[in-house]
Amino acid sequence: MSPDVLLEHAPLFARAAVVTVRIAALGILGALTVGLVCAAVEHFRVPVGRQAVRAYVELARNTPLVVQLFFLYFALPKVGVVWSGEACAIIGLTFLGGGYMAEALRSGLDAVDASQVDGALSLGMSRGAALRHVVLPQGVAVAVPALTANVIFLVKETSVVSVVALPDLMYVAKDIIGSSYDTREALTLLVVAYLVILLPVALGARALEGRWRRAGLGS
Amino acid sequence: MTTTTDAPVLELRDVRKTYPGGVTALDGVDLTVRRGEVVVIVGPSGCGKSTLLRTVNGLEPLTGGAIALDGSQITGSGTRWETVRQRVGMVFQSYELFNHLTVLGNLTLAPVRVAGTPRAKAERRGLELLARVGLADKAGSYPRELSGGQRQRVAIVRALAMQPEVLLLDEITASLDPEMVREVLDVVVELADNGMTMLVVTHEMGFARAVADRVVLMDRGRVVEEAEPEEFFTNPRSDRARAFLQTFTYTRSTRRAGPDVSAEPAAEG
Repeated sequence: MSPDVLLEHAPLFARAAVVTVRIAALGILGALTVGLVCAAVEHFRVPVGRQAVRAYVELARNTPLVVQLFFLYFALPKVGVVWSGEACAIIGLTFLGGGYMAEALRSGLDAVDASQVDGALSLGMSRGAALRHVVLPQGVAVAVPALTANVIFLVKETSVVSVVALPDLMYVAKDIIGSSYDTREALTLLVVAYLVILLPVALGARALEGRWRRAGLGS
Repeated sequence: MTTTTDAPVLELRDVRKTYPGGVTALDGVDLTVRRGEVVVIVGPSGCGKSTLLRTVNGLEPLTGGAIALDGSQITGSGTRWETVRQRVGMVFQSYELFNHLTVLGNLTLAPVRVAGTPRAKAERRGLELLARVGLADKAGSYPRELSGGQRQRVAIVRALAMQPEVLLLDEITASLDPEMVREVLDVVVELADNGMTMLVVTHEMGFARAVADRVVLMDRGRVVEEAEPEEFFTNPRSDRARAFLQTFTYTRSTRRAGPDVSAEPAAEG
């Protein structure tokens, strides 16, 4: 393995890492938003909405991201919906991650005793205030380990977005292997790039879990 | 308990509650609680006493009858329960303290978020209330770090922090170890002496006798006897009340006692 070759390709990976991080960050943000709404719908047993959420969660979790991306990128244009590769990647990740986040948050919310809501209501709080100030802080604290696992999982899932022509880390690695046969260097840089992105996330997640356990569950 | 006046604070008229499954929990309850009065509801498990308490602050919707607070009806479609509940505090059997907040955080959450009290003022009041129940040093602790008796005292002052006109106490000693019951009941007696209007559900007959201005016996969703505590406990009028009170006096069954028991072969365990 040649250090010169590594150095030569490194800038390409740095640029690709920006794409990976941008897609992952926006997709995870979207997934958390979708997941929170879905978890609330399930937690409050909203009629019809609840069944719709169940169907969505099963669909999102039981189909591969590649298939979801193909659908968004190649099938939707047939009915006149044309999105860029990056939009498809972010929407696809939101769709997939939303299902996982919904499950994590729902089980967290369900772990909070329903009588805690009685306690909140008895003090004059509205249902919304009870959710925001009493149920969510405790439920999210329970859900944090599952949520952080989902975050790491979703960052890794971005490695398939090259199928919709996005120059992410995986795309660049395959490109270099195909054009210059620097296979070992390309794969080494690929591994290093993912570690550079994910190790801080994993360490941050662990710190967050400890903090939330103390803050959310009263030490 | 001389602070009782004639003004009714709570008036329950023909209150009914039937669950969708067809079970009737409340079968036409009439009850009046006057300002400064302590009314204690006793009765066998499942008689509807806790359900009755929960109807008063809307945690359990009625299926018939009406409840009035200070003369205005609070049952009906237009009721803003958020407003009613600020005037009717409740303490639960299992405390329902918010585990993610400190003791002081539990006391200030509703005053700050619901009543709009400035945080500094709410905290000052919270600390005063904690001092009143001997828990000033626990302000920064989390509920998990407290004993059951301490938690229940915190729950009581959390309800008081909203300055309610009426306090509902739902079997507040039922999940406490026996040695912690007294510290909680002492707080309630002090509240009663200071003129707090209370509607209390309890299984502690000694406490009922000590704190009540009036004792109400419920059975099968109805009020079967209503009397002054001394009269209720020493000279109950109804057979139902006598039968109920008898369950609290443990006497050894004569059927199995006596010297001949040991002479019998060990037929049963």
